[in-house]
Amino acid sequence: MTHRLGRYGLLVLLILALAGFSLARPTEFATWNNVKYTWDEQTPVIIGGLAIMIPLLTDSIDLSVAANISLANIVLAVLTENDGVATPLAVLITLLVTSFVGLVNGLISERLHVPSFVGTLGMATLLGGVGLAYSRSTDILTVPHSVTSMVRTDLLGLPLSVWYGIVSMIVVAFVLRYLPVGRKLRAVGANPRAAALTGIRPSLYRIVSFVLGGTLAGVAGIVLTGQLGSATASGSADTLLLPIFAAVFLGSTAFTPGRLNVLGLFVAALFLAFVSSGLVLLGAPLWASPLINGAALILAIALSSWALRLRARQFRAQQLKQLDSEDGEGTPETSAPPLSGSEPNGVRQVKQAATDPAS
Amino acid sequence: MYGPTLALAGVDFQVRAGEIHGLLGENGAGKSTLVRILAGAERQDGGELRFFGEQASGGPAERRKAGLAFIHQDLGLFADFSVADNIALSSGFSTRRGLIRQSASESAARAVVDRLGFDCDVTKLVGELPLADQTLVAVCRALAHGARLIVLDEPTAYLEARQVRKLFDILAGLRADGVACVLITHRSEDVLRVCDRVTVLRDGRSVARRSAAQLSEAELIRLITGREDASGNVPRRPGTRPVRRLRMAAENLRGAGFGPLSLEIREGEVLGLCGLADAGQFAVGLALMGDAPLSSGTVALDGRPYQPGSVRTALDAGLGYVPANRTADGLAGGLTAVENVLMSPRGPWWRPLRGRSDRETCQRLLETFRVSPPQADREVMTFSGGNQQKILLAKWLGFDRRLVILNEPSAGVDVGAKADIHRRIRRDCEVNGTAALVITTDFQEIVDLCDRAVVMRRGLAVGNLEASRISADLLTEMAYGGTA
Repeated sequence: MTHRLGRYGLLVLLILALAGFSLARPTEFATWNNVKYTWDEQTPVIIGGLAIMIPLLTDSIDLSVAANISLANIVLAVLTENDGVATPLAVLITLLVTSFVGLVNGLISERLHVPSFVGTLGMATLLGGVGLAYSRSTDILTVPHSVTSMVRTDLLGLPLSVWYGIVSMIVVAFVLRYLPVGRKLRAVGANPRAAALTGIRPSLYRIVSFVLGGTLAGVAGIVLTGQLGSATASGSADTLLLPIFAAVFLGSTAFTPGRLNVLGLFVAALFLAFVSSGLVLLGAPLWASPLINGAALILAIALSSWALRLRARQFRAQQLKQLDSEDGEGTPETSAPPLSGSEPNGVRQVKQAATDPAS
Repeated sequence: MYGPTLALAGVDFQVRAGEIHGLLGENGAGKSTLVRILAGAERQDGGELRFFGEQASGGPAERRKAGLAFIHQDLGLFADFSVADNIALSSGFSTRRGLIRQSASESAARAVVDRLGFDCDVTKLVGELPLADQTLVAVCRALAHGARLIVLDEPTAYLEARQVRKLFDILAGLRADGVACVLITHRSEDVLRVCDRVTVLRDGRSVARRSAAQLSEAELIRLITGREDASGNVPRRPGTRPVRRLRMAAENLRGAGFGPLSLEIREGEVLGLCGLADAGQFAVGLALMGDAPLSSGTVALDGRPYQPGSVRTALDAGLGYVPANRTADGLAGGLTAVENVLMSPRGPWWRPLRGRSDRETCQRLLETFRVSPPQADREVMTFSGGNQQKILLAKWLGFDRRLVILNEPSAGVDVGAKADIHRRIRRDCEVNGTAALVITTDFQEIVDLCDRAVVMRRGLAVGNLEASRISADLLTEMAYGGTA
């Protein structure tokens, strides 16, 4: 029972929030337009969440994701608006640039042995400077129609941006679950030494995870550029860093409690957005939304860690029961020592707080 | 205690002042529950508990004050603090005007250390001491806060023979002070060597309390398992094995910590490579697996030259490697059994995994290895220690490798699981012709499992024994430097 609560708690919360706000503001909240608008608005957060999830799975953290999204925004706008580069080519260049940033992040962390927490923190600041230099410190106020239409055009009732988000989620979920590379990435995160003795090179896979994260940050930046129709020299996505991390960690409490997962990220991103927009519609004061979002994150993680502890206790009881029925045959033990990966460092602890609450 | 089930159902347990008392039982027999009740972390449903003649009351803090100390496998020491600080953290710093007096805590620590006859520099960081000395620091810490009953949980699990001897010598010295020790262990030889009396638990009951002097090892194992033949001694037929092809021939290997060393292993053979913990046998395994560099020497695998350049090459050549520490090096606890067993699936990166057939393969494997419960989709950390070890072995033994390198294949598992594991290794070698190189510090394991043994000392092979000559005494003697 509690086990289910842990799994579907966030989904239930989302439904309750939707129902509550719909009853309170039926004409404004319970409209397809509101759903469409909120989902559209959250898409860069969702794709950005995928971008940090992959390095997180290999036990690395990418704090430069928001700066990388901002950089993609600036690069795409400058190329198309100022330099007159054809949109498809500009999109390709943007993706190459952000993937390259990911590669550099990976090399700094794995070849220079700078902890990713510090390395990507430095990279985030550095990218801000690169963005300013590349845009000559001038905001770009419009982008060509081809860029906005690529993102804003409706398909089957939803803007293309939303479809990009959906496709990204499906691709990432598929890669992580059904391709060998996904299993190896998760193995590196779960126990790098065991992975190495199985012929998987942990540092290679960590670098790969940063590159994939960089590519996804590029996708998020392209979507953002189409939505905004402009670029800010000082970085239009920098404020997304904390919402992205909040959505990923809140999402890790749902469906497979204690583990990062794509579906959880999606539900969490929508939940956070609907709560904010619902509160605005109710006329709640400006401070209510950050207050509730922050509290929701802390509470959700606390609840899911409680559910995990409870589940561990049930496992023990079950094993003892089995012991009774088997009467010595097979001899399961009363409790197993929890396994952990490499020695903890700051990053791992930050991550564990959200992804591994049982330990 | 745990819902409707009983973990303990009738235990009589009595420890006298100044004795070393062995507490034995298979995993799941109730030892850890008994310890938790003694420590006051859990309450008994019935029965009576007295310490030093007085009715036990209160929680862990009161018990500690009353003179009880518990030393777990994870010693609970601070590796970055000095020995003196570790002791003072528990028994209290002496201060002057609120500031710590370093010299006072050092001399207090030195007093305890000297009382034990334990040769140790108290200003050293605990993390820099060998494991046996760390265990002794934990003992000193217990004595410093006035413990009169010390419970040690598996203190020798990761110690080599020489360190075990040191630990036991010092524990024996506590007898004169009237301090009692309870030794919880899987190793029956430890018990016979050091304990005065023994209590055996089985299925939550105390089934025997004997004086250790009256017990033989076989009798002890029979008491622990309740079975006649569970000692893990698979009967061997020395000499009847047909002569088989050479699987691996290594000549003049040199690497970090060993060499020159030559090894030969035949198809279907279980070769033991043993020695004290620092004899270099583990480095040989790592070098053959391509995880550590070989500085010279040649290796031939099935007659073809084999150059162990990386773990990948080794795997492609048909090797498999089971590390000694399953938690740190072997298993990814957060992944499921099937994800661990098939951690690095073969094939191009874009080909999707075959979920169902992989699961079925893994399921069958878990059943043949007698993992309970045999559920491929379960996270590895939810299995018990012995079952985790079986999963780790299944990862390589199940896949028809040409040569498997097994480091401490039965470390920290109970007698029943150990017998299962030995049976599996032998069966795999007999049937599939896999060659197994068993690398260990546990001489009993060599006696129980191996067809032949190479003994190493300080990086060199000092002996090569056929099955008929293998005995724990001879192995120990050779490992320490005697001649055979």
